[in-house]
Amino acid sequence: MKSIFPLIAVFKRELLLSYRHPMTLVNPLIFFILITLLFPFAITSDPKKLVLIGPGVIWIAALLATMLASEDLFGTDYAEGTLEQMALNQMPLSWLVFAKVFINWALLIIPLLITTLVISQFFYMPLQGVKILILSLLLGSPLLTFIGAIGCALTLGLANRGILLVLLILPLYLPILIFGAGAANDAMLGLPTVSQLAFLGALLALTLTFAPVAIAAAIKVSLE
Amino acid sequence: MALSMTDNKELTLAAVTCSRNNLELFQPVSFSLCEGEIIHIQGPNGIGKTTLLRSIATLVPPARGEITWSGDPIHDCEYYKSQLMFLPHQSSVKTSLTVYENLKWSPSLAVWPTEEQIESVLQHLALMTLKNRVVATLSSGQKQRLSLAQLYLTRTKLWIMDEPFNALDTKGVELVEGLMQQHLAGAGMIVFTSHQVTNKFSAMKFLSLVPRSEVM
Repeated sequence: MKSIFPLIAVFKRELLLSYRHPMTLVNPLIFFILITLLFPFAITSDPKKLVLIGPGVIWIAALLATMLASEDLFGTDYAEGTLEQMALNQMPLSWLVFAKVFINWALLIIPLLITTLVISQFFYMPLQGVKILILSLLLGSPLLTFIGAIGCALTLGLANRGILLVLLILPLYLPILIFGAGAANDAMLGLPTVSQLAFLGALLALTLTFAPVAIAAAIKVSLE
Repeated sequence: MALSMTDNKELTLAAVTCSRNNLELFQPVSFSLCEGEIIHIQGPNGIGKTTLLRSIATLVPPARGEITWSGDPIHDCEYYKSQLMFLPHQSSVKTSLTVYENLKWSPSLAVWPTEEQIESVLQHLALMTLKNRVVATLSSGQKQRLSLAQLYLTRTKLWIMDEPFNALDTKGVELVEGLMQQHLAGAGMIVFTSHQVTNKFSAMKFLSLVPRSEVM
């Protein structure tokens, strides 16, 4: 008779923490909005050109914003010793980190997708294309967050981990960026996008299965 | 692989030693602890008391030797994890949550604490007036009290306590000692370290860690 209390506790604590410190999620969002909004001013006002660069710009900004948000996912828990208590809970650590990473992803991505709807109009994107862009972000961003969380867990307790973290996870982000932005680009031109989206979906299934186990293992090593 | 079906739980350390930076810290120790027993691990600073406790709590594998729980090795034993409570040296509480929230949504509990339980614990530890204060504004003694509050809410068998009397005032020390006595009376088991001498426990075992000679 195992209780699911630990899972709910993680959910509730993360919600409370985001409520107390909204800037940890607002900062990446502002960062995302600033990058994407400055591009039309700097490059061109030609709708045809903007439609071409738009999906790529939004994807890059979303990628960087996610990286920014996941950089310190476990940092305070590690410093305050609560990560250790999570590791000692009888519920497997991989479940608990799944709950933690998932709630952080949701709190970042929901506002980010809503702002994307508005920002897409600065790039003169057709509605059909915007739909695919949102879908590609919805499939791709959990990948970014979970892979970022693996990097974060691996570098816990290291000094100057910022640049190491970037070097560690950026190569893993590239395929996601290629397929995600690729799907959105094709959609703007009215081309079929099923293959790219299916590939992202497959990667997502794979990551959601294995990433929590990898994160939990990395945390245990960091705690030793 | 048969799980022992006996009701009596026993923690056994056989020739266990721990290492830090690939250096073995102390001479191998062996002891066993039965229900209702308490052991005080002693030794100078840096000898590896905390590391030994963390090994018993499955956080660090020991350098050598074996730790078993009723005959089963403790690593990869989910059941053992449900039996232990580890209270680290530094109080593990979330500083940006309130006292109440820390207890209500504690990461070390397995089951839901009821409102009455939380209220009575806060009352008992004289934290009631601080219930809705954010932990970051508390003193280190108050934080330690909050950390100890989790002991009231857990029903685990084995308590592993690293310097539980740290930062506590005399009244706090008495409270914790009382709590530990109560736990032992209920067939609990305690492994703890402390630099303070306590004579509250009638049948207390002692273990002194001896440094390893320089020549290996």
